Amino acid sequence: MSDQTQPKGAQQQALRSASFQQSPDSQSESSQKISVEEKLYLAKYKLDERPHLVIYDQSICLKCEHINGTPQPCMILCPADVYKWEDGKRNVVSYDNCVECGACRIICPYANIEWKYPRWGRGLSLRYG
Amino acid sequence: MPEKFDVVIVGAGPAGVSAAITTSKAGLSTLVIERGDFPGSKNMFGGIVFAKPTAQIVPDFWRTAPIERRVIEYQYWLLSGESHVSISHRNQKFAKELNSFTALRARFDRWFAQQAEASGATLITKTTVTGVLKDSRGAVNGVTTDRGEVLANVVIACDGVNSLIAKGAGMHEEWKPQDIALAVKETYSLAKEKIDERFNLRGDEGIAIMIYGGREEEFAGFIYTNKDTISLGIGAIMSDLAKYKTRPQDLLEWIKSHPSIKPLLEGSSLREYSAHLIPEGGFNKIPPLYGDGILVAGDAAMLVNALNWEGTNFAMYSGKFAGQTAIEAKKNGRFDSSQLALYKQYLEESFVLKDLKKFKDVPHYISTHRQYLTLYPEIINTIMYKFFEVDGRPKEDHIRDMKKEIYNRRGRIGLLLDAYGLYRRAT
Repeated sequence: MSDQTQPKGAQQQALRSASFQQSPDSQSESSQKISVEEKLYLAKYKLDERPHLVIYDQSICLKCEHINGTPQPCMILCPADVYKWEDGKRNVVSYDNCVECGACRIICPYANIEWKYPRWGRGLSLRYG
Repeated sequence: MPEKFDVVIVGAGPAGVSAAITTSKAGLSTLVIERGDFPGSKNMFGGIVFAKPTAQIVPDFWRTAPIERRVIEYQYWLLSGESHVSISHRNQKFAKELNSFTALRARFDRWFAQQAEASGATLITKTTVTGVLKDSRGAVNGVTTDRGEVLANVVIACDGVNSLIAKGAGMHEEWKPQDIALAVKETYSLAKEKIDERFNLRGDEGIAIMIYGGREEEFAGFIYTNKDTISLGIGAIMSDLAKYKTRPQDLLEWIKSHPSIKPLLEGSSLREYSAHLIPEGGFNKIPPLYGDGILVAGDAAMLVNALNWEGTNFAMYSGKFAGQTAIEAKKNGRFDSSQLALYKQYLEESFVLKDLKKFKDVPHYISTHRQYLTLYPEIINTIMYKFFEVDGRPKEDHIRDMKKEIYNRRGRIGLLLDAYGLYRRAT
């Protein structure tokens, strides 16, 4: 299996230069506009092809939406925008955004998220921490 | 047959590495299993590390450890809408006799783990422990990983706040959202000279700022100066974020845009965004610390004093005590829970459980008495504003305004109860 840094592509480079190579004066203004998605591009990341976050039962997410509305607790708390409610019926999990904090697993009122760590050193790798 | 060690340690953070240094120095065969690329690559904290606990594990650590800056000044800030009141203490004694230092986990933990290897421990990285192995009597005797199985006389679970090992071993249930804070942090690069100038620092002097107030949610923010980066972050109790439907990333944007904080980041560039949980349940929520063949240390055992911003040192001490317990167990040739109960005794005799016990009611008390973190910062800001305001009216009027601010917003009796309540629980 390949053990290489997952390239987020040329788009990543473009974003990086657009958002972070600003003149000093405009930096603090611009930094507020950086989306979480863009912030995550700064990180070193290796994909584990097997999803480490899995919704056990989508019908429970639908029930949660009826009770709590949307965004559901996992979508509010996830600091990396992993969870998105699509077409009013599906919790779509972008596990490759995950920063491995564990908040979704604890906040889910129905323990409906299978939460594991990525395998073999994959996932997020911090340079500062 | 899988390989067997005296001690298998899950996680090369401060708890795991402290345990590994302790056991390997005593000659026990020690394996540390780390899931990250390298030790520290999955770890995040505020953060500052206290020096004396570190010296207990690695004497003279400051000669080689990747310290960012020596903290010579500590500040507490109480925020309001467009103001803050601060209390600060700067002392050159902190420069002469190191009290705490700022650090970056990805660098510090990597160095720390090298000290364990130098003491004779074996470290394997890029390997995730998936659970424990148990013998026919139900005693833990090893771990399963994504690369195979390893046997051990004692497993020390130092796998961090998610505590999947102890949970998987059936030692405790999932944490409750009201006991766990979710923190998000950003690291900004800024030239050293700029940081020195901006925070009034020289050489390797550093500053730690802890921030409260100005929101409905129970939160704590922080700013730490590193060599040529600034760490800024904010954490809030998870149940509060859910209740107020506040996204942690929005909380971070809010604190960054506060007029007292925004200028501190001017001209810097974002280098890293990360998130981490902090176990803040305190003494009353500490799970079982030992079982047959297993010990739990650090964040995994909820050993954090949120009130005093202490976590890393609790991890180091509990890791060391877990290591010492394993050494005694090996001497006696027994690894059952009655032998490993020694670990709890070590913790009870130290500041770890003494401090947590002392302040055991404070986390819950502050959570259920919202005025401390919401109303008071605001009142204090208004009072200070009145104190400094010169507007042609006699001071007598200002004093009346200040009294009114307190009495109208909380009442004399409320004020007395709050003062007494906090005094009783925190002293």
